[in-house]
Amino acid sequence: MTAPSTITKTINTGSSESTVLEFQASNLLTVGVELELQLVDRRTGDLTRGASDLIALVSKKPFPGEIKPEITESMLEISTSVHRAFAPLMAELIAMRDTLVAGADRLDIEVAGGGAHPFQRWYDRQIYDRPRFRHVAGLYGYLAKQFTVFGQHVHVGCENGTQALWLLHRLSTYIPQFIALAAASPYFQGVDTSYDCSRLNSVYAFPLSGRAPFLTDWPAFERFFGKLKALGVVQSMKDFYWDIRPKPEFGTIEVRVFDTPLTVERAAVLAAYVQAICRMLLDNPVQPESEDIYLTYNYNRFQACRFGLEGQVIDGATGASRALHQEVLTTLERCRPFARELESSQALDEIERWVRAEGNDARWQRETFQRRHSMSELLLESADRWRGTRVHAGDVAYDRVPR
Amino acid sequence: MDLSFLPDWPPVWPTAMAVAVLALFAAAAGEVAARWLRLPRLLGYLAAGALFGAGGYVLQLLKIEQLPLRTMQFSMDFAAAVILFDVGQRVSFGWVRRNPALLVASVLESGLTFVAVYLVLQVFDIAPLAAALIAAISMSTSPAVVLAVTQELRAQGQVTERTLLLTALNSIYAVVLSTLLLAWARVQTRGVLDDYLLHPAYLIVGSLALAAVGARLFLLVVRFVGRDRAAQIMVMLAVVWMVFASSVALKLSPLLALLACGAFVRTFDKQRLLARTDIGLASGVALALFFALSAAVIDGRVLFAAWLPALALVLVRAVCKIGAVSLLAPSTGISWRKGMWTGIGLLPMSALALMLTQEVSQLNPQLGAQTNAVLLLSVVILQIAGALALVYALRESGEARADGTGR
Repeated sequence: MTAPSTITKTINTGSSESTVLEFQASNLLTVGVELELQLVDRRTGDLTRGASDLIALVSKKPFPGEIKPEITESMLEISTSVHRAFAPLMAELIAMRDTLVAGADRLDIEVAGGGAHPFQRWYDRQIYDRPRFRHVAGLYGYLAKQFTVFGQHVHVGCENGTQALWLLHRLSTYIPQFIALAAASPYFQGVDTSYDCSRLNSVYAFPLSGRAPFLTDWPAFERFFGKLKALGVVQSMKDFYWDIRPKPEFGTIEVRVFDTPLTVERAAVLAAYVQAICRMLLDNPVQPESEDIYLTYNYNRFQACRFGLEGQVIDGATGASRALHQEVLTTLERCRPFARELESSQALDEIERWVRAEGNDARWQRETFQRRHSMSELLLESADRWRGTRVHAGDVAYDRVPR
Repeated sequence: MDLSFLPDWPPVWPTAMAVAVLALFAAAAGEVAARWLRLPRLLGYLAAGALFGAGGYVLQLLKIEQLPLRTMQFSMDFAAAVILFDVGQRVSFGWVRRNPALLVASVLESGLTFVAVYLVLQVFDIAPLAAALIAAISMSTSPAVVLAVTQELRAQGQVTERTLLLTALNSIYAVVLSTLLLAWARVQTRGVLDDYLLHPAYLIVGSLALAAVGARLFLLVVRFVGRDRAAQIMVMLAVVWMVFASSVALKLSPLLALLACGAFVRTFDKQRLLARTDIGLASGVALALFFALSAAVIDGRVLFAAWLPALALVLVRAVCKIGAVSLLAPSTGISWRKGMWTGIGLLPMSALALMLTQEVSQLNPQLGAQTNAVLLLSVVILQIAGALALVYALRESGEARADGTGR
C-alpha cells in the first residue's frame, strides 16, 4: 500500500511540475490501516525518545507491514499491507504489534495506543530529523510540536478518482460514528478536556483541516488542487488535513478521524466497519445529493468528539435527532448482509459489544484514571493493554508476555 | 558596662558552619559553570570544594576553622547514599532479563577493564594485590556523575538509559570483586582461610537482605503518604538513612545496599507508585553537596605521587570501555555508533570509587596508601574529563534535551 518512493516524490514535487493528480486504480474495497503510536518511558509514563532506535532494530528482520518515523522521536507509524478480508488484516496487525513490542522490550521502552498523550508538554518534544518534518515544524511552529497526537488512518481502495470522491462524500455522514467509536483522547496536556476525542481539536488548528470541498468528479478536483497549488497554498495532497481525503497515489480514500485505539484488535475492527459501510453504500449508487449533506456536518462532528457515543446527531435530510449509539446499531443492522459477504461479521459483533457494553476507549481511560488517580499510571496501563496482556505490575510482569 | 553578653572575638563557629559556607559557594560556582562557561554544574561544585580543601585557604581568610574531616566525610557519605538510592531506582534491572545481551556486554566491558588495568599496573611494578584492587575499582563508572549530567541535560534515549544501567552494574561488580580481594588480603595477613568465603558471603547476602527490607519499608510508607511531595522526600531520606546506618552498624557494604535498595524498590513496585514519586529534588541537593565535599577532602599531597600509573590507567580504561561497548552494541540492539557514545559515557569516575578504598586503608594502611595514590589522580582526571565526555556523548547522540545552562 505504501511505497516510500512515491512519498519522497510527492514531498519533493516542486512548483515546476504539472498539477495533474493521477489516480492510481486500486481494487475496490480493499483496506489498509496506518497507526500512529506513542513511545513511552517505562518508569514515568512520559513520552520518550526512541523512534529511530526502534525502527532500526525491528528493520533488521523483515517487518510485517511497514514502519516509519513520524514528526517527533516519540512517535512512529506502522502501516499494514493491502487486505480484502478482516481476518488476515487482524493477523497482520497482531504480528506487527508483537514484533514491535519485542523490539521495544529490548530497548526498555513501552509502546502505547491512544489518541493523545495525557500529560506530555509539547515544548519537550524533538522534531524527527527529516526534511519534510523540519519543513512542517518550521511552518507551523509550536503547533507542530503540540501536534503530538496519534491517529488511525483507514484506506479504502477505489477504482478511479470520481468513484473515490463519490464514496468520500457518502461516507461523510458516518464520520461522527467513527469518531465516537474510536475516541481515545479524553486527557490532554494534563487535564480532562471533557471531550471523548480531544485530538481532533488539535487537528482543527491547522488551516487546511475539516472536510474536503464538495467536488464530485476527479477532473474538477484536479482543477481545485491545481489552483491551490498555483497560489502556493499547498504543495502536495499531504498538506490537507481533512477528515477524509483522497490519496491518488495509493488509489484510495483515507479516513483520518480515528484516534489510535488502545489495542490493534480495535484498529482492525474499525477498519472492517468502514469497509462494510462502503460496501453497503456501493450497493445503492445514488448520486450524492447537494452540498446540503454538509449542513449538519460540523455540528455532528462536535457532538461525537465531545460526548462520544452519547452524542446527539441531526440528520440533515429529515431533521431527526438521534443518539450516536442508536445510529451505530442501525448502521450495523444495515451492514450485516454485506459483512457476511466480506467475512467480517465478527468485527460487527465486536462493534455491537462496544456499543452495548464496553464503550469506547475514552471510557476505559476515564475509568482507569478514576481508579489510579495518576496519569502516569493510566499511560502505563494503556501500554499493558497494547501488549494484549492485562497484568498490572512493574518489571516482573513481562516474563509472562508470550514471545 | 558589662559586655559579657557579646561573643568572644573571633567567635567560635560550630563545625557545621563550614559545610554551610561550602554549600553556599558550591551553589554559586555551579551557576557560574553553567551560565558563563557552559559546563556541567558539577564542575563548579568541584571547584568550590577544591578551593576549600586546598589548605583551607578561603576558610583561613574568613577566620573559619579548618573543615573538620569527620563531619565532611559523614555528610559526604550520606549524600552518596541518597545518590546511590536514586540511581538504583532509575535503573531498570528487569531490562537485563528482557535483553540478556546487555548483561554479556556489561560483564565483558568490566572484565576487560579489570584485566587490562591489572596488566598495565604490573608494568609499573605495583604489587599484585594492590594492582588487582585498583583494577577492580576502576571497573566502576561514577553513578554520581552519570546521574548529575543526565539530569542536568534532561537526557533521554538509549545512550542515556544504557549508560545508567551499565554504570549500576559495573559499580556492583566493583563492590563484589574488591570485597573478595580484601578478604584475600586478610587471609594473607592473618592466615585464616575461613574469612575468604565467609566475609564476602556475609557482606553480599547481608547487604542485599538489608536492601530488600529497606525497599519494602519505602513502598509501604510511600503508598500510605500518597502524593505529597515533601512527605515522599522525607520517607526517602529516612529509608536511605536507615539503610545506610544499618549497613555501617552491621559492617555491610553501604554502596551495594543502597544501589540494591533503589533497584528493589523499582522491582517490588507492582502498583507503580514510583511513577508518581518524585525524589529528584532531594538527590539534586545531594549531588551538589557530594561533589563539593568530595573535592574538599582531597589530600593534595598525595595527588601526584603516582602520576604515571594513574595516567596509564585512565587511558587503558577508556580504550577497554569504549572498545567493548561499541563492539558489542549491535548484539544488544543498537548501532555501534550509539554503543561508542555509551562507552564514552561510562568514563566518569568519582569519589564514590575512593569510598571503596577506605576499608582497605583501615585494614592495611600500606596497601591503602598504594591504591589511593594511583586512584586519587585517576579519579580527579576522570571526574572532570569523564563528565565532559558524557556531556559530549549525550549531545552528539542527540539525547540531551537541555543545553545545560538551565534556561
